[in-house]
Amino acid sequence: MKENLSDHRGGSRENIVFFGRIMANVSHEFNNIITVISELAGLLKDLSLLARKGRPIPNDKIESLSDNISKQVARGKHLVSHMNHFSHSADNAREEVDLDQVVENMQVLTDRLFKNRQTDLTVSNPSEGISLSTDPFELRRILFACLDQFLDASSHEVSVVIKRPENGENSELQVSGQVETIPPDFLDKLNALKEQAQAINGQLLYEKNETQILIRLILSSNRD
Amino acid sequence: MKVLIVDDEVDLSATLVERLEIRGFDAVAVETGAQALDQIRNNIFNVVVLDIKLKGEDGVDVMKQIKQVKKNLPVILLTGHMSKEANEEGLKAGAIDYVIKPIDIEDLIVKLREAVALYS
Repeated sequence: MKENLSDHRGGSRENIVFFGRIMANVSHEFNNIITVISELAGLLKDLSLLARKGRPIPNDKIESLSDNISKQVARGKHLVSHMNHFSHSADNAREEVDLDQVVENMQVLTDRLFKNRQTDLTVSNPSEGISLSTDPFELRRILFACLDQFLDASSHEVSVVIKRPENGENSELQVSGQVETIPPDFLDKLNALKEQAQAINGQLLYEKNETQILIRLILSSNRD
Repeated sequence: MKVLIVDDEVDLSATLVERLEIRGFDAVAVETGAQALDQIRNNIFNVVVLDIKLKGEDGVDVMKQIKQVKKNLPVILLTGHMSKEANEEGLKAGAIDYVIKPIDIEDLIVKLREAVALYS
């Protein structure tokens, strides 16, 4: 089910900042991929120049360089595919989404952000996929904002658990982790997120103590 | 000339080592700041090529630690930033020069030779 864009989306500034952070991270990854391919191509050229001077290139060297180029191309394709899903998530204000795919999408696109902070992000999926009708872009933005709390809190391990409650009515994303410090603006940010979650017919709850944060994003398929 | 390359993109640094060796340099690659410091403490290098964005580490911080161990060891930063301001920041912090990714190997070699000439 698709629906045209409506007014429930967060402020445009928040959306632009979110989009910008994802783009900055992904463009850095793309530049790394291009750089590796460029160096591999350069090495091939170096070796071919040496071959002209009488130093033959071993077959296994050519195979190994070719495999490395293919590996980088596959890395780039994977990223492009996720970037494309992400970009199209802004097309419709409401459509059927697969929660697994949304979480995987954000995990791939934020991978370097987490690695830069030496934070491990793990995802636990239920045995069967969960689909629901929601705003795919807003859902990603709220999930990212939840994850961002753990980057701010210098967490070393963050887990996202996708849960299907017993009654089967509401789905839930649980983001949790040990933290070194609770950021001073944590409550302000979480309260703002609560309102944003309500706008996509969700409910955001959190529990915290000095060393642990648990954020629950409960998502209903029924919009009205 | 002995070059230490510090970059967490293993395929990149391994390839760069080979390309430098073809051109007569002696090059070693490591992935982390700690490994770089270990190499510098135990070996003699003429110049370091250091990625400004290592996973979990700020390259500029690593450079400052390198300078504490070997004050006169020139460091060239590898950067993906096209922003001149960001690159100038690295120079202010003590880098002798920077190279923007993707790398132009001939440009890098000119900068390696200039760096070593300046510090010798």
